[in-house]
Amino acid sequence: MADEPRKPAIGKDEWVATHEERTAGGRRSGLERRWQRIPAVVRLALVVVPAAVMPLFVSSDYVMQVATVTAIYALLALGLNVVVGFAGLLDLGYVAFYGFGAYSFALLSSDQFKVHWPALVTVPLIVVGTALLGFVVALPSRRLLGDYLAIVTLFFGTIFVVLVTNANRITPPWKDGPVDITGGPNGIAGIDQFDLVFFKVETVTQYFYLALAVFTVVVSGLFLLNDSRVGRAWRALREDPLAAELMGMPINRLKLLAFSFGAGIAGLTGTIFAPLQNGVFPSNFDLALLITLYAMVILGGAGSIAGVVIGAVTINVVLEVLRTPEKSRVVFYALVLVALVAWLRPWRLLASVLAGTVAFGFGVHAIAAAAWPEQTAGSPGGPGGWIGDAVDGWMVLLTHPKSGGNAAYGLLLLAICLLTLIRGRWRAAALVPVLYLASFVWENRLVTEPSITRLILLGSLLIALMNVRPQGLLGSARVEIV
Amino acid sequence: MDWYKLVQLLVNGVTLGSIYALIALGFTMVYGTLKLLNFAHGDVFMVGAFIGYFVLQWLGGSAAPTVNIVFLIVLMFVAAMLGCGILGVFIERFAYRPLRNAPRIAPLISALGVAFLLQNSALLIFGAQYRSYDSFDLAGGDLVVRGIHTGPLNVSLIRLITVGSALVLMVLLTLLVKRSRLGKAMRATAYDGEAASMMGIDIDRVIAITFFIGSALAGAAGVMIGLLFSNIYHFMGFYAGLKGFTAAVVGGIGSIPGAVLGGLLIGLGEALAAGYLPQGSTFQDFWVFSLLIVMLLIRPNGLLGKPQLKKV
Amino acid sequence: MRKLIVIGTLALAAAIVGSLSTSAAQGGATASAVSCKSEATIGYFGPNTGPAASIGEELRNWTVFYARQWNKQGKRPRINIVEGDTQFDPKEVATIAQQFVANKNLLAVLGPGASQEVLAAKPIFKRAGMSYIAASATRTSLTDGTNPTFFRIAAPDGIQALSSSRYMIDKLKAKDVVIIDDQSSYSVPLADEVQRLLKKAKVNVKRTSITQKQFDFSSVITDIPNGTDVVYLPIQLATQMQLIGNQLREQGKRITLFSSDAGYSNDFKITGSYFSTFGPDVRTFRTARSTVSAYFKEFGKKAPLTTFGPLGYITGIATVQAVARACKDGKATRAEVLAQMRKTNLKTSIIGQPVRFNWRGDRIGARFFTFQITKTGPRTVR
Repeated sequence: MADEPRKPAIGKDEWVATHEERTAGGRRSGLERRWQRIPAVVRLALVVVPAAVMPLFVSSDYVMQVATVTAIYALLALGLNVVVGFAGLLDLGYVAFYGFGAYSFALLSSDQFKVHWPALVTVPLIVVGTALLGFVVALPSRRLLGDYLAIVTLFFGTIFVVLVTNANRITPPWKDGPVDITGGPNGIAGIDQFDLVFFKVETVTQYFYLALAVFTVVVSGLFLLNDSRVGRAWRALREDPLAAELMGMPINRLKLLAFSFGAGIAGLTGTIFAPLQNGVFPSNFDLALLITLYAMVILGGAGSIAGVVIGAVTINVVLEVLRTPEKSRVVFYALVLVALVAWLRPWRLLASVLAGTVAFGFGVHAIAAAAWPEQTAGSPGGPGGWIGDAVDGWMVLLTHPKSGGNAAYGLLLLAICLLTLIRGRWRAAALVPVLYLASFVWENRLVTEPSITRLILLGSLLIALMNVRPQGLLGSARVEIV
Repeated sequence: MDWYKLVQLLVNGVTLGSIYALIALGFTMVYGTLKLLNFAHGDVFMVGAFIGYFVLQWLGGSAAPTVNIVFLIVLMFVAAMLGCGILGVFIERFAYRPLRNAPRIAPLISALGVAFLLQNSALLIFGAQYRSYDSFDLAGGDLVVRGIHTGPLNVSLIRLITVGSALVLMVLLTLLVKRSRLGKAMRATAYDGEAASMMGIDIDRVIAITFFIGSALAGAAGVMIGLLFSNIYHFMGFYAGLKGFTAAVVGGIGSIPGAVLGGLLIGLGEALAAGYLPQGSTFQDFWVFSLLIVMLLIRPNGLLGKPQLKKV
Repeated sequence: MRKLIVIGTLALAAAIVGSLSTSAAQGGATASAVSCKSEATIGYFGPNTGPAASIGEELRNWTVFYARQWNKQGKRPRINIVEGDTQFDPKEVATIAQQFVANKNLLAVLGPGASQEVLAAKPIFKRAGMSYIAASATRTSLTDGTNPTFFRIAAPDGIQALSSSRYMIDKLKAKDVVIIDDQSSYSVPLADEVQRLLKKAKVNVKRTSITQKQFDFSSVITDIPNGTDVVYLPIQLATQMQLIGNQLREQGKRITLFSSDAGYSNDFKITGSYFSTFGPDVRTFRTARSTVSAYFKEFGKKAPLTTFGPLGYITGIATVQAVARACKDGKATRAEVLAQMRKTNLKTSIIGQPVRFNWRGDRIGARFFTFQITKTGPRTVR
């Protein structure tokens, strides 16, 4: 049985064990250790109780909808975390299990086949069914090494979408015409409410409580699982499958189990999602969702339950806030500030970079306004808010922001890449124009395209995190044993 | 049996397959040296298609090109290949190299991030519209009208050009890898990077060149897609990449002849499925991917791949 | 330093929560009137990104265009448009719909784009009594009477299918038809309906499909028998129609193409082909000319223009004017705007037809035009 990787041992193992403190671990805050010291139940309560009382203070259905979707994302991320974080298997077809759960619920509780079973009956069936599907999909992983599993699951995810998009025109041999199973591209609309026999979940707030309840159950279950024999075995498998096998672990069975578990959670989440949306459509289960889920798991730290939940909440809330320009401005400048505060030290350097950027901005603005008054007569995109007003005097705003903004965007990508190459004082000095350029691109181009901006930020986040802190915010750093 | 139909389908399949093969080559070369599934490869291909498009527009567009047609096409290929090659080197330098000693999963996720970033940057810069090369108007339609047309069998000039140039590129690549010093260094790096570096091979340089060549091939494939099928858009890379990926895996990932074989198989499979299976074109992807999964189960290392031995 | 990180993160969290709760403070759908003397807010949502972005871009341009013109002319109330991106994902639709409803200043909604998006928004807008109007959602069942706050400009599938199949049978004397759909929620129901009508008239029909992300149709085309009279293409992308036409030519097959709404585009120029669409030729239409040139001036020379866009423009006109009428007394409720939407009565419009709605929300008198593509451009044949 593999022990906790942090426990010291002799020889090379000790080196491994102290790796965290020597490298990225040094930057881990005492906060996290203190967090770990709190009893698990209290930790869970710290998350769930504030969420549970939230609806008492919020009357807006919009906020409740966002909260419910956040809970759904958190559940999905938890399920993915079992496969990716605990067992270290790259599952690129994960969204299909979620889709399978949602579609099954829709088929068993709608007019599609005139079947209307209560959720209390269908949900256990679907969870078991999805877990079985996960088992079947993972079967190839018994024979396929490493990356091939990623490929097979990626195909599975793609095939799932092809199938549900076209399962309205499959003609079975015993029939003349095609049978409409999934409604094709039209999906299935008009799904029954989530029916617990003694209680019908109807409003968004009730769905939020439902999702929260399921969340609590799943988190508790995962916590126990993580500390069980199986959980430890998964971690061993993740760190080194070969060593785990030599230690006598049934690695094939462990892989299958992880897959089924993750799939089951995804299926369960699907059954909440389908009635919440009051329909299921093929476009619910596309690549963008997969990327978003990975971003959540990775940001929080694969393998850490609390981390994954934090990742899901952060990313979904940030994505939500990015919808409107004046709020996205707050997020953008706050993110830049937090990043600078985290990375620039000592504080004198930080202060001089900030002051430099502000001064640089006013300088450029003055020059540009004098040299090209017609071209720089733009106004902040969208309703400005107070930051927008402040920015107006500082930032060069193009009259025709599209082409100039595009060019600046390309330049910015290049500049950020080059910034990683220089070190020390020069980097700090180069940071000033790059920061200004970033704000320029933001104000001239990105703020007017909130939908594309969200996706660009997600992609950049994945790359940046992998480069800076591959273990995520709360994940434990891993070492390859040479 | 309608022989003309079969032959025509084979022609269609080989054309499409040779493009898949070019994409697959990039995958396979990168996998060979870095053991990395480069998910961003398909999007490099998309960028190549756009570079070709802009060169074409810049020189007058399909209807009224301002330069000689042969020169125009060559220029499109050169620009796309150079542009994509440089892009590939950049991606490797900034998204993968810092992760070379990280756990296996880190560069994979970084690659997903690069793919997503490229797609959406293209959406931001180029817009969401489908663009058309209008290649059927190029040279007054000669590219389509000329060629082999006997009875119901039609092999247009553009298909001959595509397959021909793909073949030339593949032969050049094979010669480079088998005969040149650089190729030797590439093979050594693929076999054992650490040992190669101890023998005085500059691995960083070899890997950068591998990325350059692979991405340049993808760029060429992008221009070919544009010339053959006209339509390009920001999301095209993902699906093309998936097919190229499949081709590389079928052939045995890491094997260069395998990638070519895999590409042709996938292309032919799609064409024959569309032509002969009931609802074949609707479930084209389904058939191709199912076939692949079955094949992987029978031969986990692909057609020409070598079984992997893992050192401990 | 660690403390600073913590403080920074906390500050960020506080900022996010703060900005969310400001919108929460606006929350709660109320029947109380909002002031709209100087400014009124309406929402627009559609697939700005994602797989349908190419259609979404045009719809968005045209839909917000009228409001921009309105504001430029200094008319009151000034129209403020809140935008949402559905990414072609019904889940996003539901969230944005809730966001619109929670914004108590928001009086009416433009969009969404596709039929399934309408279905996702339906329960939310129905409960809030929010008027919403789609340009291009064509599924017949959307206006079955259970969707009281919904309006649409495009005619439902049934009407187009009838008109197209009659033309193929009566005028083109089609005996063998191949139908190719593109697996989208626009295309499949239309193709199904035409297939049914053609089969009823004893026409041989062969059905196949492509996807919007496919490059190569040559094998699909090889599979089309030589004796086919018409290839019917109810697909959404004109560039794909053009490619299918070109690849037919490449394989030496001379078959008439008959496409649907999206065929009205500069990208589809196979001479001799037909297409059927809900509007007349906007580009050459006299009353539309100034609007079209203003559109290109506003959004650039290469801005997309098919028949989808002008319908979006009409949704803008109907909604902005309804809001303006409801705001005559300086304040308005959603119910007032909805009532004014029902009273919409435009004598003519950019597509040359009057715009009025029946009780279900369908446009009265929506009809279809059939065009043939000639060397000089499309020509109306029916």
